[in-house]
Amino acid sequence: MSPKILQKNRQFTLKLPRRAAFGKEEFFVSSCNSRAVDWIDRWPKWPLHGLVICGPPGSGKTHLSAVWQARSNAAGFKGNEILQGLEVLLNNESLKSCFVDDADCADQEILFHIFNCVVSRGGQLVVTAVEPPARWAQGLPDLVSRLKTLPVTQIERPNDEMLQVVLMKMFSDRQLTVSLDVLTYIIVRMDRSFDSARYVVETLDVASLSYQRAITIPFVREVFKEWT
Amino acid sequence: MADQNVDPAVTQRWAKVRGMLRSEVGDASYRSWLKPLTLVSVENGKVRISVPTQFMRDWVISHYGDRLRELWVNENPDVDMVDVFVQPPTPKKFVRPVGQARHSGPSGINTSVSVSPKEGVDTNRINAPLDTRFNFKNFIVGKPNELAYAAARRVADSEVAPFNPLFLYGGVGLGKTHLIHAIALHTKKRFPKKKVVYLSAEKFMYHFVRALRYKDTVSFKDQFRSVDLLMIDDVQFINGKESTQEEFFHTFNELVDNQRQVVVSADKPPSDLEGMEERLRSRLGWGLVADIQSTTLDLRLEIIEAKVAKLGVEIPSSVIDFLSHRITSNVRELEGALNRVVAHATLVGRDITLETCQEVLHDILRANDRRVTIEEIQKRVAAHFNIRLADMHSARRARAVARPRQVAMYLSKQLTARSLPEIGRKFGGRDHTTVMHAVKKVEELRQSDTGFAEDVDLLRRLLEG
Repeated sequence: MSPKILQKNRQFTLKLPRRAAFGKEEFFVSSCNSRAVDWIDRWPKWPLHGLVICGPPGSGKTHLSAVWQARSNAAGFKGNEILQGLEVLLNNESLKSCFVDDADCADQEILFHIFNCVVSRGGQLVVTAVEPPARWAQGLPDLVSRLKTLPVTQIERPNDEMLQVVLMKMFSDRQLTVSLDVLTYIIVRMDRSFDSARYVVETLDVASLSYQRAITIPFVREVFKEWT
Repeated sequence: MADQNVDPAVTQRWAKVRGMLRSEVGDASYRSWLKPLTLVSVENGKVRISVPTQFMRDWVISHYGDRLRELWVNENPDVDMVDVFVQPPTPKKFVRPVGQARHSGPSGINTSVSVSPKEGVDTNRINAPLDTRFNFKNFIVGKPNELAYAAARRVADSEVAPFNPLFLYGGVGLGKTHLIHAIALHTKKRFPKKKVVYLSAEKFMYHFVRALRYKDTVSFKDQFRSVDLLMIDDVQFINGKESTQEEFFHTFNELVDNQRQVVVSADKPPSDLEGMEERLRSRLGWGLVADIQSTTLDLRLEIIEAKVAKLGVEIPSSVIDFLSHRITSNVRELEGALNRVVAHATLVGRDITLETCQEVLHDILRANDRRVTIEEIQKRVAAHFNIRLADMHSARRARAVARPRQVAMYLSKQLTARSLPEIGRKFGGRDHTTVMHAVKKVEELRQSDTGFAEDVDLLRRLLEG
């Protein structure tokens, strides 16, 4: 449901595409993701032929994998586009490694072929998913059994420090500066997940544009009140 | 897929055609190959349908082209032609592989392909690489796999095909691919003159589709003519792809008739292969059909011990015992689990213990991570401190109930994603500042009182399952 404050008379807002930065420098390391970052940093000294990065939506799986992809010159595909991915791989014998984002949304038979292809070329496969493959409901056994041989690194729920950084980053991606007081105010009142951080920032951004008001504590209080 | 600017009546017909196709080919094939089709126009008896890639176009035409036309004619007798053309998807923000040239023509126009037709006919390209670790020496033999192993050795040691074909089948991860690679490696060493071709199912499928594209199935078949040993892995994936099966059948017959050895693997015996023609199924069963059964505890122990010796690492016997008792699904996962444990230990520079082993394999050992609720936390904490559940919500401020309540609030913050105001509400409508105070209080007490800290940690572990 969208808060009422968003539906009243307001200025028309354009949804501009936001630039998402995918550099390693942009990645904040905290206790909830430090293991995953460790894995990426240790490449190319990986002992096995890939890595599974799991975590809730918005936890930075794609960001982290993109860092690896750039370092390793791997091909990269969204889970729902891997048929094209398989074609690219089969057409380019020189491509060894591959990154599949949202592998839990991928056609499993095609992903199975991609896994075999990458391993037979001595490359590495990085996949992201919300849950580890061992827990995928109705997974293709041939695929799941192969993916289970990869190390799994899990990004945990954000702690308060992480939430603060995530909110700050999301606001700054939208060219918004929000004071620390306001961030603290938000954090103790929101659900503590990456997903809800995204929702909070989006809602506040739209509301502040529509009403031409800065994001201050009184303003946040009003928006939150509409919520509950 | 949204089909823009098409008359609703036509859209309806299209939906019907797709529905028929879906019921004919099954959901999986439909999702992979037919769902991405977009109806662009129906004009002057010509149906125009776009697909995102050239490969897909070829596949759709070769497998579903005729049927697509028939179904359209049923819906609309005026239709005399169905044109499937490539329209690359609009570029997404997603990163393309580095150094990957984009070959896309102007949208809406057939794109030309930049590879030469001859390319698909080189046997070196069609051969999938062999993994040298998959040799006979590394294959641990036990009751469940001794028949398959013996058969594979016979084939690899024989000058002429002892049984044709050799059909190896068994569940996922039990060693079919290992045996196939071993046969190839051994044959190459023993009979260097023999021409060995090993195909994974996706290679076979892909190269065959290319050959169809250039109407070049003759030279596709030609490249198998001189082959002495042909091996196809995971043949069940050729299921339901009719013209690939047809081609496979002919290639297969020709080789067997000429006394060339054929080795095929699948996840079930020939008679159970669904979506495969009867004559092909029966033909596959003509030679020797050898199965690999699930592992036994003895075999698992032996496999792990052999693997440990090979890796040259120090692993406590408790870990070996644990793995062979707990990872019972198949050999691949068993070895994979051991590899993961060793990899983790090397990476962080720690010894391998039962605890690290359980931690690393967390995803496999536990079917799911329990999502703890605030109610569960309240119940468990109340029981632990021997207070009534109602006291979690009551206004009583006596230490005996206030402290457990604070612990429960602290754990609610640690173990759930609920907001602090919501946690407060679940504790008898308290304010979020009360929750913050409780969290701070518990953190302080944990520092000063080790007994208390242990209590809290114990509760946490119990709740996490």
